[in-house]
Amino acid sequence: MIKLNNIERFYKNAAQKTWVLKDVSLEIEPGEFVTIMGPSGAGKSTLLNIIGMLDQPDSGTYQFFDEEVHRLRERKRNDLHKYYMGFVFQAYYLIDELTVYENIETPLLYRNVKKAERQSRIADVLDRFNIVAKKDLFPHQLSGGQQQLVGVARAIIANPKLLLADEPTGNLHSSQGEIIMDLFKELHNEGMTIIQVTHNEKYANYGTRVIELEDGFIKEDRRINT
Amino acid sequence: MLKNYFKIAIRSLWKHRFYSGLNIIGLAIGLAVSLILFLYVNGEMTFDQYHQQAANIYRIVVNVKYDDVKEDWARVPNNAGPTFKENIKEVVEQVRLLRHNFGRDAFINVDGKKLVEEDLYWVDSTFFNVFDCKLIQGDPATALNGPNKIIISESAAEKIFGRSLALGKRIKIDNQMELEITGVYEDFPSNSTLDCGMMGSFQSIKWASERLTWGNASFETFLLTQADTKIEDLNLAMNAELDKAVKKEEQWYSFWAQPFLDIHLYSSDLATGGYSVRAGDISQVRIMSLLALAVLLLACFNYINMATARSQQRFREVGINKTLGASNGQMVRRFLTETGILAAVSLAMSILLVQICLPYAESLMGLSLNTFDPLQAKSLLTLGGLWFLITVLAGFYPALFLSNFSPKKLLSPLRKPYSGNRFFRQTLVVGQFVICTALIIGIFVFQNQLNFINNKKLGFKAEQVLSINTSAATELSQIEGLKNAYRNLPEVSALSRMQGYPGLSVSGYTITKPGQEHIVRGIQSNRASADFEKVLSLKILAGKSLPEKKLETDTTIQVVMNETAVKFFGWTPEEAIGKTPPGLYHYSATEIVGVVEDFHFESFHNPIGAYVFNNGASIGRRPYLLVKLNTRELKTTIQKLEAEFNKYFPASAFEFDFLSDQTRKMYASEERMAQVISLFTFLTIFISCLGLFGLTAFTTERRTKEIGIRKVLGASVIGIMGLLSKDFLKLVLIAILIATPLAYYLLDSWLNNFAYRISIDWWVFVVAGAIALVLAFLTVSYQSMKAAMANPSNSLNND
Repeated sequence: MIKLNNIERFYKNAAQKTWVLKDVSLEIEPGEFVTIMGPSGAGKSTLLNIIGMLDQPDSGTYQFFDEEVHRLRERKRNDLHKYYMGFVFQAYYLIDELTVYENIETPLLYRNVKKAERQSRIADVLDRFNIVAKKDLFPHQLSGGQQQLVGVARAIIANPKLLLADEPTGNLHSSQGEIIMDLFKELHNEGMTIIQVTHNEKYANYGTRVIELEDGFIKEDRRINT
Repeated sequence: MLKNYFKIAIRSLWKHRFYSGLNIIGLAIGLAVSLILFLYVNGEMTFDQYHQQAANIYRIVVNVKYDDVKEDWARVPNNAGPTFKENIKEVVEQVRLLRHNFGRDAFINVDGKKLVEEDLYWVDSTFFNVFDCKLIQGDPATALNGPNKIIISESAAEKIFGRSLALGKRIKIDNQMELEITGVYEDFPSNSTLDCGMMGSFQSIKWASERLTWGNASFETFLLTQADTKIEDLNLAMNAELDKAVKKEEQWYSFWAQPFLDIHLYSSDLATGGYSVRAGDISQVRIMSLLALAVLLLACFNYINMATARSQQRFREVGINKTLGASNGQMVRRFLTETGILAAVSLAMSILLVQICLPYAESLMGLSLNTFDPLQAKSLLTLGGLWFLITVLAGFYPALFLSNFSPKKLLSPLRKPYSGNRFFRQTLVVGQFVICTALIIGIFVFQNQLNFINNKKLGFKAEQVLSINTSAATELSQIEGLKNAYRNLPEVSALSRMQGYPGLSVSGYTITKPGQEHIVRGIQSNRASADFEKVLSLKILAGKSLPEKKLETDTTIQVVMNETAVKFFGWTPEEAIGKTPPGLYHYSATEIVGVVEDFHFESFHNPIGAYVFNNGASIGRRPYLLVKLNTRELKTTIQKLEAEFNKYFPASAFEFDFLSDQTRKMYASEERMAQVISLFTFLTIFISCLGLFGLTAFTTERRTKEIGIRKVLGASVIGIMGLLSKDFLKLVLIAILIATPLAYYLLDSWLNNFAYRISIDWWVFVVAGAIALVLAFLTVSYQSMKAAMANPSNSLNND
């Protein structure tokens, strides 16, 4: 599904090159639940950005299914991003001005989904995540855990093939964090491919594979037996 | 999708209601001002267009050449119109207009009532063939086709006769002529150059209608031409007719045609305009349009500034939406929607403002604007256009700028605080203050020039001089009786009968250089009686005043000339005494008896020309009795004067003017302009400060933490205020540097319109700059003081 080959990403200063990612090669199959770990500044978020097609590598190749992503025009890349990816953020990043319902609806609007279908899909998700009663509340009226639930709901509403999560539990209490991780596990069991970044060793164990980054290199790539 | 944009936009505007409020107020004021100015400009641009044949009507103008002077007069000899109609095939119709006694009031007796009509004209019966003028009563074919007929406007008819029929009633003018009312016409609309309150038939004035000449240029004449007539052909044809009638070497003018629709705005260069007082000026229309645009731009700058300043918050939103699948275009549309809503709210508010302010604006600008009906199709279109313009002008850059944000920064661990395009925003602030400072400088220079005019020695004294209209006299004894009665009043120090006085036009004649008869220049001739120099406080340089009494049968003329006229002859004042002024009054026996110092008989726009007072019996009427008072008890004195007047003029109304009011009228348009500019300046400063206020609110908000840290480290309130104000004040300083040469250039060219003008002092720029700086500082200091005085523990706990 994802094939990265010798990916490099660096910043240039006057005389100096600072590597964020160096010689990263990686293959991820559909249905995997990958956790990226590593200390601050190791390049985790940059890797996630590149996989999520929000950022481009300076060199190396990226194959997503059959598409040579690094060769694509921006428009096509945006389309891939739009139809295949869902994003979950550490700081939830819900839109403050929209209610829970409207937040979840937004990705469907950008994909021109008809109103009737939007309603039924959102109803399903609200039901499934147990947040039907909260649908008319605004983000600031929710607890952090509830906000992240909405964030996950919003990420999967358009049926993405790949769920990308940047420290999804970073701002949460452990009990709330576990709820989110249980949800991820459930989604994974249903066949969703997930890539998450986390610092938490415990939450890494929810996945099937751990990739450890250090100074832009892949230090370790191991599978977890479940 | 659009619904979603709306929802987000409205909620976001509400959430940031402080900034939205500032934006809406600024935009609403800017829009209201430009709407009012648009009404004005639109009214001026569509002036006279209501006439069906407007495009085929021309006014004949003569280009007069004498000496090194070339002038255009919109009044032509009475032979021109009829001759052109007869001999030029393109000319379908002609109509001549003569204003009663060249613009003097007419005294009217009708139906037992006495009243004054200011706008009486004598017009050809062909008037209806050329202009759109609807008769409510009477028949256009016969209404003016013979002597002693008059038609009156609907409002005049209502005033005089109420509901009773006006047709067939007899009307007496100046106690001299009696006419029959043969029609009532619909009042001319306010956007019409024609301003006749009453129109008498041309044939009623014998000297005008029977003695046809190519000499006396007193008749405003309009030609109706065939639709495809070229103006060049018309000009050629008219001058060919002149060549047929007048020998080449005796011609002192040539003809040209002015399109009727150009008259209102493009006549200010004519030395003598038409009779109508409803004259516009294209340069004023241009200045107003420019000002309207400037105010609108200022308001848009505010919006752009605040929208990009808050980009930090907006970028997050853009990033999120883009990861959710939004495209650049969709984000642009989302932000434009927000601007559009804001612009719509502002527009609605501004319409309200316009409705409230229109009467004030009208009195300020001294004109009647078309009423503004926002529901009319035309105004809806205008409003829609304005809305679109504002939305694009204010919204496009921020929308483009914000939408460009790349979502990857949302995830980057090192997110630099990014405040948008700082340089761009600073440029806009500088732009705003350039406009403000230039306008402040403008106010000063305007005011200085007006003061200069008011204080400059006019060369005569207008104070405590009263002009009383005596045109209603039927016998000389009435005037002589009145004069004697006034002489006996202790409050009266001098009096004189005159044809006109400074500020009014008198008769135009020409004089020639001694021995060089082809060198000609114009001279203003004013028939007056003795003591005119005492009434006007003129200084006699040589000789004496006009002699006291003179038999009506005496054909010799004594004159007193001004310095300029004598200088033209090449004489000193002393040399001139006893000589005959070459060329004046053609071949009459004329003698110079005195020379007076130059005085400003016209506005300061014009240099002083040649002027002559004469006592010729047949040269001009003397409708005015000028009275110089020696008291400040004006009210009781005027009552005394009126009482005496009524004894000798039982049949007429007591009409008087203060000379000082008349001289002030010469600068009415400048004074009005100064007022309009002052108001504009106030509004632009207000709008700019509004923007600055919002901008500082934002920056201080962003720097709260920095301020807290500095305070903990021991910074003083003053020090922090300085820190926060410095950046903005620097911008204002730059603005002052740019505004100074710009304002200098513009104002200098404005001052060049005056023959007598001030030079622009350096202190004007210093003071204007200081005002701009202080205003900016006060605006900024409220916010910075608040931030500087805040308890640092609050700001540091924010994260």
